[in-house]
Amino acid sequence: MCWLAMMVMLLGAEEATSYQPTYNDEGWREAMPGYSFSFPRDHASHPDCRIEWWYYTGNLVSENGRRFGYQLTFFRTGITLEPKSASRWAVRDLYMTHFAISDGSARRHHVHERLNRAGVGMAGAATKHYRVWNEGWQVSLRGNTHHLVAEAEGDAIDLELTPLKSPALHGRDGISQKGAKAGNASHYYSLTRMETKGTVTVDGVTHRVRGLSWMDHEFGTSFLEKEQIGWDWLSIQLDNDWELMLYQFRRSDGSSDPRTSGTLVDPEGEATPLGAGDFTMSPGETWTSSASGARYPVSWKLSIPEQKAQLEVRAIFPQQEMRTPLSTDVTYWEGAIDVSGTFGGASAGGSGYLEMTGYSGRPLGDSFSSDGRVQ
Amino acid sequence: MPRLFSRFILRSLWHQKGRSTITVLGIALGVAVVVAIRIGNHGSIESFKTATESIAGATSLQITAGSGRFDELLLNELGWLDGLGNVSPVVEGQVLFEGHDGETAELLQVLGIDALRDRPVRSYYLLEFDDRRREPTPRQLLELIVDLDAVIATEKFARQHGLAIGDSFPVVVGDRRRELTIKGLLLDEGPGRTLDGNFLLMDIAGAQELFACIGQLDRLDVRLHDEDSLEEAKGAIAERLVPGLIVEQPDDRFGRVDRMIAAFHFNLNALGSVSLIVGLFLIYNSLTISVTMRREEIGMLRAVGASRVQTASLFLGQALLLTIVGAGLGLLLGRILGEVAVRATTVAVETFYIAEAAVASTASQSLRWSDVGWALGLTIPLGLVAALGPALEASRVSPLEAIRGTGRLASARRPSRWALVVAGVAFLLTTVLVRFPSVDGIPVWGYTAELTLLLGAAALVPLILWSLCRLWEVGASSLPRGWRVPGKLAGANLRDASTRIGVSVAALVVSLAMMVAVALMIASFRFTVTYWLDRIISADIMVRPATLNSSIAESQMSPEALAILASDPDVEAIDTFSTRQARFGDTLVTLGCGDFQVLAAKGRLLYAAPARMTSDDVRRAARDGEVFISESFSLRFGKTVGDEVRLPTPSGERAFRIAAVYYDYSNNRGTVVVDRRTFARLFSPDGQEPSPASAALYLREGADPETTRTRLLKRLGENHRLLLFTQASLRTEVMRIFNSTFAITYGLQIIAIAAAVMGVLGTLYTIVHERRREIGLLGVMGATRSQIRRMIVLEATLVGGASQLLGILLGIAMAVILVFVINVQSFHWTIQFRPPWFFLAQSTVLVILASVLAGLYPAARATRFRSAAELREE
Amino acid sequence: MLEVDDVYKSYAAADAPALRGVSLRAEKGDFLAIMGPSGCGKSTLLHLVGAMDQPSKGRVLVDGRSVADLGDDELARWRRQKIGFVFQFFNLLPTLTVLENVELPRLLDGDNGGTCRERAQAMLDLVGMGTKSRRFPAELSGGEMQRVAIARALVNEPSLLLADEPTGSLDTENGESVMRLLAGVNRDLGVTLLLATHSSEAARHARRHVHMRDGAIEALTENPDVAASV
Repeated sequence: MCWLAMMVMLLGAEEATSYQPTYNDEGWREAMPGYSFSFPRDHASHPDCRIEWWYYTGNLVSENGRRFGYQLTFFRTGITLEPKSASRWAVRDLYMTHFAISDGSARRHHVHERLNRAGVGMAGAATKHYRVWNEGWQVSLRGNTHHLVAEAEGDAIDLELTPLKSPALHGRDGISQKGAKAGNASHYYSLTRMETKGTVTVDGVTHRVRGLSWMDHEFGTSFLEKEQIGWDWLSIQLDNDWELMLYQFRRSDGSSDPRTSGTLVDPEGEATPLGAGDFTMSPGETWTSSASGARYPVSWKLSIPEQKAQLEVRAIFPQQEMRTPLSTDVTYWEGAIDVSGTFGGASAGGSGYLEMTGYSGRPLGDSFSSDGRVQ
Repeated sequence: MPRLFSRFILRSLWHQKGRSTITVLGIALGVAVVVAIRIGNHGSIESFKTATESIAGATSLQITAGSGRFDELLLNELGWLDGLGNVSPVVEGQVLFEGHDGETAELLQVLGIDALRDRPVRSYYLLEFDDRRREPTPRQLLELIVDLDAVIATEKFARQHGLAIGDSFPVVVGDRRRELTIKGLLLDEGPGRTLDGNFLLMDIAGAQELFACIGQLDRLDVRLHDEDSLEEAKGAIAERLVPGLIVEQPDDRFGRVDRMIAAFHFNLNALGSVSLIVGLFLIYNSLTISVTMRREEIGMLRAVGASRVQTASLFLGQALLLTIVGAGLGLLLGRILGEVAVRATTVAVETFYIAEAAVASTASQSLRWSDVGWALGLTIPLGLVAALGPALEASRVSPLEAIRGTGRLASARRPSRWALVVAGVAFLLTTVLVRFPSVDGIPVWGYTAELTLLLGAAALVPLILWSLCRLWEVGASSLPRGWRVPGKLAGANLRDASTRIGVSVAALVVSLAMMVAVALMIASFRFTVTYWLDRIISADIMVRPATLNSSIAESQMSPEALAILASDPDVEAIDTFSTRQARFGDTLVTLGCGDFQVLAAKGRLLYAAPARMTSDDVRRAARDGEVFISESFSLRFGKTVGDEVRLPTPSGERAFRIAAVYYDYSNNRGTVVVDRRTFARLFSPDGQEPSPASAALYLREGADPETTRTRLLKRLGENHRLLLFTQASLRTEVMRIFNSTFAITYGLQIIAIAAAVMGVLGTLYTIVHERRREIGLLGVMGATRSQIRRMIVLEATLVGGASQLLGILLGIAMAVILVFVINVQSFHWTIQFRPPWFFLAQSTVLVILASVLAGLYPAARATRFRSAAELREE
Repeated sequence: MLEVDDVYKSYAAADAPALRGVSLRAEKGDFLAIMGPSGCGKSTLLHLVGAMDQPSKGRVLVDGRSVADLGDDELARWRRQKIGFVFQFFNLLPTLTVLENVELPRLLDGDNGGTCRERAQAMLDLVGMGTKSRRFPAELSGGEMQRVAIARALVNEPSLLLADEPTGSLDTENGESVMRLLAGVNRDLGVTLLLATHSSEAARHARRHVHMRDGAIEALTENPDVAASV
């Protein structure tokens, strides 16, 4: 693990000279191969990229055995690279944050959101060190530990996350190709196994919790293409110390997208990219949201032949839909899952998070495509 | 009774169409004037109130600096507010929209918000936004107005000016021109109703750019999570707020403006009610004429069995009918006059008070039920009271009068001496009342004193008239031949009738006195202002932004424009002055900021105190951070040299010592002036000196102001909209504003006098009618027609002349109260007493001429009474 | 039905009292002519009887009732219900039609119904003015106006009709015609009639003549012509 980190560092140093950044018409930097990551620097914000997000999910258990899932995601969307006004209110970026707690025992899903401009410091993402915040919600880095705080209407988390493995870069050089066009991609890495402890408060009642978290950080300038109506994404932490990230795009014509891919992380932390042909994801049972009318598959069958893996994924409860009218105005499903099946021939279990987008309302391509503006 | 009323009263009113019409019109005029003023007052107050309310949205509390804007970084120290409610920062201001014709200029209220934080406070409904919903999400709203020049205008405004989404239009902010682009249209709901659609919504960043106030906020609108705990929350917030910030309810802000304008409106109302009183006098007059002329008919009615109550009711009914018809007509007329009044008062309100309140909306000028109720509720009882005397007189007519045919009125006696007692008491009250202070800045007691003075004088009128007639009779023997006999007779007749016509003459006296008093006050004011202007204008050219002709705080000159002015070779020194509103107690004052160094070197102020103020004294005041206060501030708040004023600064309230009190007739809200260095140190959120609202240029020896002015205007070009006044043109401008302010008072006076003259005409006609047998007898005894005509015309002239004489005397007394009590209490400035002799002489000639003309008609009637038939009845 | 008992009346301004101890009686249907020169007090007596004025001393009883203790409103009612008045100068309202003038006392008495018009028209028919009910007073001759005034006096069916110089403004012919009408009313309707006049022509129709001078009754005589005819 240690040598891998050193390799990554060396690679970065070497590649830095050959990396030629490209920019779109508005001057935003596009995600292109050749970029070299360096941590903790790359945890911090990349304001030259138009879109960036920091995504934390986790499965936690309280001292008395109560099951919780949580999600805290900070989005930054660039509006104007260089605002013409010196006013602090001049909009350079918009900061959106989604915060959700899945109360497994009560089968209740608590969703909150925030939307702000930087203004006088209501929201922001630091560049020199890792700190992203939106009003009182914040993630910051202390030493190696990520500190997450969020509180809204009686729901809160206050968690300390310590990565057990080094960052896993997805795709080639951490480039996650999202579309056919070069640049329709993101820089994408994950901290796949983070030991988590702290408190979860639901409806004003605070619980001491422990468990595992997953962090994603992506940044780039344009992600999706118009034909891509959504994606199904999941992260799995297996009890045997392996982690798995898989996602597939769904196209408007129903065909599968060649950019569908995944990453497998072994117990040492080594990441192996998976191509579209390396795995299958098939939806199972569905649940229909009464609020949005969207029909989500809440169980999936996964197969990775090369790893002799046959896994069954099931939501801890179906009602984990996210509706965010005030911030992104996107409706999606994001929830804690249980995993069971076989891996490497042996029986395996675990937990993780499932994200399903584009089942309701506007396609996500609108929010994250190259023209940027919400229509 | 209805049939009786219709036959006995209606038919007679119909037969006397002319007189009935005059009476109804008189009442209508009175009611119209009062209603118009009411509508006007309501219009300006209401539009400000609507603006406050529609802009406030769901705001429960507002956090502002006591004066001006505050540093937006303070927001970071107010994070705890989020626990209490949603906080929406606001930048606000006004811009001037100039129509294509260049003639129309409209004030637009600009609201700069952070769409992402404003949602809980205000809702915006857009036209042509989305098929499904008209209310955009916060993010959609932000995307619409994120560009710095992007605005959302109201549908109404766009329609009025033929603008559509995507169009750009120019506005003037201070002296700068800016182009704004319409990105959306607001429906006539919520904030879209502000100032009747004269409203622009912008992003907060755009607004900061527009008003050149980057880094500063006007206020924070807070919508509490728990609306019920408003008072506790207000208290809790007030306790934790950083110094320099205050918390209040949106209404409080309205209240301060309301209080400020209340005095002005009260004065207008007081003047307006004079016309109503004249209208009511017409009722009295008309009823008296009816009762007098129909005495025999009343007698017959009594003889065939009409009771006193029936008789009195018939005439009260007549009064009621005239009042209702008059009031109804007056309401309609008032609605029309209202628009004129709104325009007139708007000029005054805007000039002297606050621009926001002056943007009167046409919607608020409509007649409301409360106006109708008010007009009827006031005029009907008063009309009945006015009719009570004549109606009682009618009820006392003896049935015998019908039989005997002796419709001759009694009271050839000398007027009662009780009038002396009444007048004595009234005058005593007057002298006591003028010593009382104002109530809430409204000179209630001053006006009451005017009223007691009027009543006392009115009570004396018959007695004075009687005495004057005696004098006239003595003097009549020295009249030319041919006038001697008519003269003597006229005097005797009037003396005989002095009690009878006392009320009519008193009403004329009151009307004339009001005219004289107001004319006197205006002339005195005018003299004072002219004198003051001559003394204080020392600069060669005065400069201010073209945006507004008022004391709006937002009106600023840009640094670029100032640089152009300063770089002119002929400009030797520039003195700048800036103003802003500052909270002082529960009202607003003007905080001025000037350059004390230039003042010491160049400027002249007219000091009320101390007696001597040298240049060194001014420099010392600047050094010690002391302030100057205007006389109006001094009178309004009872402060003078050596006292302290406490003013809100960004670091909390501070006390300042008063170094001098100076005369200022440009603003009666009260002004505190600090040196610009003191301002930058203590009042400015960013330590900067404020952008000036006006500047005075001192030219090099020998430079021609007019040439320099023309050159400067050329160099400023279209991009900087500044007004440059030379000393002469400033004087003209000030007088223009002055005259437009007082135009309405003259209008009211003319109406009052016209009504009073109609009254006197009617009265004269009545006396002649009463005396028709006597006049007939005179003819029998050999008086010529011309002698009789002369007699009657002389009577009319005597009435007019006596009224004018008394009117002038009473008017001077009233003017003294106006100038030294009411004016000081409501406008807080002293003015020099200067009677306009020419005007008084002119009006005297006019009134006497009018009386002569008024006498001609009854004179012509009188000569027709000479038939033997008139005599036969004796 | 009429009893005048030792009545005195003096006016503040006058030197001598207008009436000095006048006593007089009249029965129902009686017709008295009070005669005498100007200022003898005949009009004053009529006013007192007609409840338009109160005596300084003494009593006036009509139908056994004294008017001295009546208030002004009751006096007014008394006048409109018990007494009819005919004046020298007719005193018609010029703005009202003949019919409307006659209706006036009924309206004052609160009669707004159809009977009001009926009664008025009946009275006009009675005095021979039935065909001119829509005319205005100015369109009538003096005699006609007086006939209308008589109709007005009768419209409330008074028990006492008072006529003060009813022929004073009329020529002989018209005067005679009016007097014949009044006499007829007295005879046919049984209304007690008191006539004040200085014209012996007018007094010719009365049953009794009361001669007055300086406020006192000088003599009371029966009119043999009329008395005989009854």
